[in-house]
Amino acid sequence: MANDAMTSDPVQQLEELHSASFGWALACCRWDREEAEEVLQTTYLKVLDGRARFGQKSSFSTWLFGVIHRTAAERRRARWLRLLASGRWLDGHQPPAPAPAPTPESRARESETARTLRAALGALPARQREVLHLVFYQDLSVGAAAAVLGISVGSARTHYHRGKTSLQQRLAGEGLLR
Amino acid sequence: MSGPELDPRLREMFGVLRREEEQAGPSFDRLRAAAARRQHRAGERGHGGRSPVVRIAAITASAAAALIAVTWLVVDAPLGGKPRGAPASPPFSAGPAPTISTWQPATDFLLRTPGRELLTISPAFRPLPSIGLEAPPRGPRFPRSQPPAARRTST
Repeated sequence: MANDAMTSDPVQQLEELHSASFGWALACCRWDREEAEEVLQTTYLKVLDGRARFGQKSSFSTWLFGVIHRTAAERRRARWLRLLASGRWLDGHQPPAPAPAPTPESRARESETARTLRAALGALPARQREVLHLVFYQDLSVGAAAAVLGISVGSARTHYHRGKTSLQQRLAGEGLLR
Repeated sequence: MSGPELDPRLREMFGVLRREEEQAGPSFDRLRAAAARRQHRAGERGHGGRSPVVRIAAITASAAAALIAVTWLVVDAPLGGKPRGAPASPPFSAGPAPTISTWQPATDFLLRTPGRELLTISPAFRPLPSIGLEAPPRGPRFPRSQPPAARRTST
C-alpha cells in the first residue's frame, strides 16, 4: 500500500492510515461507531506510549490493523467480564449486539448499496466478515489478512471462499447481484 | 455471477462503503487529542492505577481463595488427607512410653522359630562314671629354671 511508506514518525504513519484504520475498527466492532472510536483511540494510545511497537516484521498497515483487531477483542472481553461481574449476564442478558439502529440522518446519508452490504456482512460469521473486509475494503492479500488476524493462510483462504459465496447469495437475494 | 465478474463488483461495492465511512469518520486530530488526554490522565493516576478488569479479576481470585480456606477449615478431612470412607487409625495410647529395654519391635514374632529355646538355655550334664583314672597333678608342666622374682632382681 502507498501508506506503508518507510517514514520513521509513527504519528505521520498513523495519520496516513487513519481513514482505513477507522473503517477496519468499524468492521471489528460490527459498525458500532462509538466503540470503533474508542478502539482506535486506545490503539493510538498504545502506539504513542510504546505499549505497541512496530517490529518491522510486516508492513506498518498490517501491523496496525493487527493491533486494532486485538484491541477490539480486548474491549469485547472486558465488556463481558463487566457484565459477568455485575450479574446481568446471569439474568439472561444477551451478548451485546453492537450494531446500533441508524439515526434518520445517517440513514439518509448512506446509500442503499452501503446499507445492504453492511447488513449482508453483518450476517456473516466474524472471521469471514473480517477476511472479506481486509481483502475487498483494505485491498490486502489473503496472506496479509491472515497475518492481521493471526491465523494461517489456509484458514484465511477457507474463510475467504466461504464468506464470498455466502455474501454473493445474500446480495443476490437483495437484488444487488445477479 | 461467476468469480471473475464477482470480484470487481464486490470491490466496487466495498469502495462505496469505504468512501461513505471515510466521509463520516472522525478526524485524526480529534482522536489523537483524546488519546493524549487519556495518556495524561493515566500519567497523573500513576502506574499503580489498575483497570477495572484487573480489579474484578483480583477480587474474584481473593474471594475464591477465601472460600477454599474456609472450606478447608470447616471440613474435617484436610485436602489430600484420608478419604472419608477410610477406616480410622487406632487411637493413640496415652500410657507411659516403653523404655528401650522393654520395647519390642512389631516384627519380633518373626524371630520366634521352633527350637529357639535351645539357644537360650544351657544343657545339664550328668557326672561321668569313674573309670579309675586320677586327675593329673596341678601346676606347671615343666619346672621353671628361675623364679620370676629372681629374674626381676637380676635385670
